[in-house]
Amino acid sequence: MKVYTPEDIEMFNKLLDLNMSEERKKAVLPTYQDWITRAEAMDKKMSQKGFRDILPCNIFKHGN
Amino acid sequence: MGYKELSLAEIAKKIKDREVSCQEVVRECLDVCKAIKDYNAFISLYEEESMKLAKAYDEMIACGYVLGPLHGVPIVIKDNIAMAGTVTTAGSKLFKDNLTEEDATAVKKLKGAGAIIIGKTNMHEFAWGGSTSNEHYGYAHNPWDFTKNPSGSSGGTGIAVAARAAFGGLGTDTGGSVRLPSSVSGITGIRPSIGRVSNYGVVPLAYSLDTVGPMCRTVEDCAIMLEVIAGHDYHDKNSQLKPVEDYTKDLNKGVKDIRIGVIKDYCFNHNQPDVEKCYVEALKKFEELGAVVKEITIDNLDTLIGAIMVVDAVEPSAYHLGWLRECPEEYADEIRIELEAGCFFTGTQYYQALAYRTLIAQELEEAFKDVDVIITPTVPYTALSIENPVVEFTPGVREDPLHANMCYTAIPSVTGKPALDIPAGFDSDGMPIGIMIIGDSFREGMCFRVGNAFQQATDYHKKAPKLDHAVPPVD
Repeated sequence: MKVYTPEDIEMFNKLLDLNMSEERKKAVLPTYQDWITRAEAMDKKMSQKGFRDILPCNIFKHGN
Repeated sequence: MGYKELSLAEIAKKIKDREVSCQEVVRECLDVCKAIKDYNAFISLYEEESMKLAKAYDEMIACGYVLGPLHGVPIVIKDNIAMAGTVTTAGSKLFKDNLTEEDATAVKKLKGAGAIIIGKTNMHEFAWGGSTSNEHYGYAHNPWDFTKNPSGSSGGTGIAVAARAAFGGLGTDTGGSVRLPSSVSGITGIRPSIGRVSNYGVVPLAYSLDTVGPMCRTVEDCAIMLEVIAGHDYHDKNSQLKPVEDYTKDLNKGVKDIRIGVIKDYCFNHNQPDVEKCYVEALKKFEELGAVVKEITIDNLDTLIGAIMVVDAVEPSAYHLGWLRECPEEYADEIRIELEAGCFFTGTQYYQALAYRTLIAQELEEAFKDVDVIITPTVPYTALSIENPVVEFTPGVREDPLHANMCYTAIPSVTGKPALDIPAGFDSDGMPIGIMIIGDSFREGMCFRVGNAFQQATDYHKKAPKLDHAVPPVD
């Protein structure tokens, strides 16, 4: 599992112009760590051969 | 006794047949609304306007005019749904002065059917959470146990309907926000197919997952309400042209030979024991009623939570980005943190989450070739403590809260399928337990048929909470 740091949060802060205080950056880290770990597992799965050709559908094809 | 124990369908008929006046019914509901003040179910209550409307609707009936199937019926709506001339706060400080000039489409349709909207209910701030522990408008309390939360984000509507303060209500559901509070408050609620009900006039959470759904005490009542609010809307580009069917026509067809799917290796052994017991007994009840229960396989649920979290986080964060930059202090800390974290996902992760939705939708389409509905527990636990909202299946062993919240509800959410929660029993502390009936796209009628068969054979949906903190006590 990758471990993220306040410096990683600062990178996002700068990228997104969020102007986050040190307190806010510290507060968001545990939530981000939890969520990104899950997202990365999903990323790993969907990047595998056999899943790469599955495209998003913006309009769901509904049954009859 | 009053009229509180009647269903929406029953009170609508009594009003139409002039056995009871709209004024009597609305007065009774408003008295309950005021008695349950400490439960923090409401953000706004419209007492004077509701009584004026009730008087007018009584005069209409006396002249032989009935607006529609909900004529004179008191209804509540979640406070992220716009109603003309009211403040729509979305449970937030940011929108505390948000006076909306136009009805949401769902509200327009309710009014057109004669509903009297008596109040707007408390919710988790911007619908971004599942406890309705709202920093700005008060923490909401479960109607069955004051020390527990009513789940969320449509917790206020759940409380109001369970407490008999209204005969039905609207919630919104993104990852479970109609079904979760319905389950823990012992009522019936449906998340419709994506695109079935217009989202126009609803403050969005995650636009591609959001739906508006009825919350009532019976399946029949939900069917009546859904038929009123469903339909294409040119204001909502994501709403579907599919015609609205008569959702009550197949209610009493029973479940003989209906095929019920149970997801192999997914729905068992990872619930609170009482929830598992209720679920197993519910499946047995369906078999007694003539249904066929069969295992189905959905192979790729292992990263379900990761996928829904990306969509469910990115979309609100994109919507709120401007305010997050300008006035982050207006948000409760919990919400601000979620919005910040949601900003940090990459575009490629969002794309893959959308691709994952296609994957799971395909697996579900395959499953629906062999079954008519899929039934799961709604949520693997009963209502959580307000002070310490920790999920445990085994005492002393904390569960992953995200997984516990959404392991079942996320399946229809990511795939756009309809899903109906119905009461299925109680735990050893008397707290309600729900099961969820998932249908194929735009097959809400099948969900209602199966749910109604269960409600005809059981009486869990008829039980009412004691409301220990109602002042004066509610009978």
